[in-house]
Amino acid sequence: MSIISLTNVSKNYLLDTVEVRVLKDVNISIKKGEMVAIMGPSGSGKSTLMNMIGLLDRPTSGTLRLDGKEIRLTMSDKALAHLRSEKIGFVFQSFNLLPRLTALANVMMPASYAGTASGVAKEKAIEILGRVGLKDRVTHRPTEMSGGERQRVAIARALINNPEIILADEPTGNLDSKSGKEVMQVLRDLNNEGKTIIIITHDQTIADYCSRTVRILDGAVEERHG
Amino acid sequence: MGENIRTALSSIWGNKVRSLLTLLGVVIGVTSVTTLVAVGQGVKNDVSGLIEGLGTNIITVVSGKIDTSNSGNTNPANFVSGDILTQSDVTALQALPSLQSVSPIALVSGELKVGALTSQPVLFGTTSNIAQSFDIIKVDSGRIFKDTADDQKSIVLSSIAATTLFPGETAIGKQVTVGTEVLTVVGILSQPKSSSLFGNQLSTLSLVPFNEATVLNKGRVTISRMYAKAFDTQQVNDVKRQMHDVLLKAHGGEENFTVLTQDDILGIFSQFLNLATAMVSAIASISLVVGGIGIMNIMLVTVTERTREIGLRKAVGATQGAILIQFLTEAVVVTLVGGILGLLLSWVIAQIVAAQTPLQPQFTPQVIALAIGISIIIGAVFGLWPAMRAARKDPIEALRYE
Ligand SMILES: Nc1ncnc2c1ncn2[C@@H]1O[C@H](COP(=O)(O)OP(=O)(O)O)[C@@H](O)[C@H]1O
Ligand SMILES: [Mg+2]
Repeated sequence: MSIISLTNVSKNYLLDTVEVRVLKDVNISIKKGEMVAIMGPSGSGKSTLMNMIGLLDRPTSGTLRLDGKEIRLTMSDKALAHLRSEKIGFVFQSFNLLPRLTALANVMMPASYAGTASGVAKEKAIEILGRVGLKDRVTHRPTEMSGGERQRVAIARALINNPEIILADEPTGNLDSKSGKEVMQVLRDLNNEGKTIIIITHDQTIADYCSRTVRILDGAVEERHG
Repeated sequence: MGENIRTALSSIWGNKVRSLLTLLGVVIGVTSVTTLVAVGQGVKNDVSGLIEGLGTNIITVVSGKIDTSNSGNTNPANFVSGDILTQSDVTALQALPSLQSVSPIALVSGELKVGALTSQPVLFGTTSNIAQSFDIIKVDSGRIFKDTADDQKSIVLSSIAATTLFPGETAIGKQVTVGTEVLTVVGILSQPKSSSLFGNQLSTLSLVPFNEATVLNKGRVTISRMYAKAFDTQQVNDVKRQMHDVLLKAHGGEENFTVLTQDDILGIFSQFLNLATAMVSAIASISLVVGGIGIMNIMLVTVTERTREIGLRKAVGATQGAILIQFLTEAVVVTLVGGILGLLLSWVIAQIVAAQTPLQPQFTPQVIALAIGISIIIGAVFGLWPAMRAARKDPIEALRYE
């Protein structure tokens, strides 16, 4: 059974008075444990698609299922926030770490929204930081770390609530190729441990890490297996 | 919650100058309100201490009509008017069986002189029963004067006046000049220990015979008030009514005097105090509102600056409620810091006031609770709108914000 499934999903945005169709009848099904690259030109709707899967946005029409559960348009913000906290980990191109907080505090942050006790979260955060190779950076602040290290902190943060799905929107876009490779290796390892991973990228070498590539052009999906 | 508080404190610390300017309104507001209330508490404490020290069965008669029914139109000028009460009023009251004693009081102004030494007294002309009417007046050594003509050139000194005028020697039997009169010291009062605010006044209290006061006041018989003591503490209100009726008859039905129990006096003081408190609180609340608007402004700036953070927090599972509470907590922590600073400042001011004036401000738990309460309310009220704006931000747009 697929962990993510979109059926005839469309998304319209109202720009001034004109309705812009950003996603057009998208049908995608992603199985548990897959590692999928989403590629397409800038403005084609990749981030919109990812926000939809990550429950930050709601489809204008069509059906989205996570883990077999239909996400209804009428679901409250609170219910979506809880689902997000439980099932989804985000990794962003610009890391989005909080500059005042240490690596450890950044990683722990989502745990408080999942209701995890801070002692438990701390232990878990230290363990995860070790797993992404940042055992020595626990008390460092983002400004004291390299881009690759920051992105690995962000990945650790995405893992703290043990979600099944990791959504990464151009995770290597701000990194040099060496750091990019390290980050991809971490994501690859996570995939081998069973996480479902979706990566938006422009870069074919990044897509090559994935078992499957979905291409978007002008809001419509064309798929190629490889 | 702990994290919210830490975030708030670190953002205050991170922008010290901005925070200080923002907090200024709250600090000033809280400082003025707490100082005022602490001073008020001190005065109340003092007055009730004084009244307890005097004894609750003392009933005071003053000239002029004072409204004691809390409506607040008391004219303080009535306290000092001086030719309404007469010697026959004293006699009439003394006839009441429920009264133990009645003493008229004539105020005399003038200084006490012995050679080159002088002393500024509160000088009462009164009768020998004053020590009975007024528990706080006690003769320490010597005696009180008699009410007879041959003892008229006598004076009872406060212990302060005695030591000032006769350093290192006994005052009794010596002579003191008041105005043109030469009086013999017959007794010395003991130092009253009750009240700080009124203690100063009472501690310089010296007494001359009533008739001598008339001489010192150049022949004018002026009874500015009378102190009477009821036998029964439980029945002061009944006795007050009896006295009122007697005096009303003596004054031909004209109510140009007021009979006051100690409770009435306390009530009048409270009225004054409450009025003063209300007026200064109104001024202080303006600075609190200004401070609150400052907080609101700074919180709106903070929310805008941290738009991406809000987007991120929502993406990792924060509900609107969690964001609302986060920013509300921050606003409250900021105002609470302001409140604590205000409280400390007001405590410092209180120490200075206590050292320089007879006022003894009291930092009761209520005063501290008031300061904390005001700051929390200001933070919660003025932080609500910015916190709501934060909570309602769309996570996608917030994450895209540069
Ligand atoms: N909130 C919005 N309102 C209007 N148009 C939007 C909004 N969000 C995205 N779009 C438009 O939708 C299209 C797809 O955007 P996006 O999904 O971010 O593209 P990609 O990530 O593939 O570069 C773009 O043309 C963009 O301008
Ligand atoms: Mg994009």
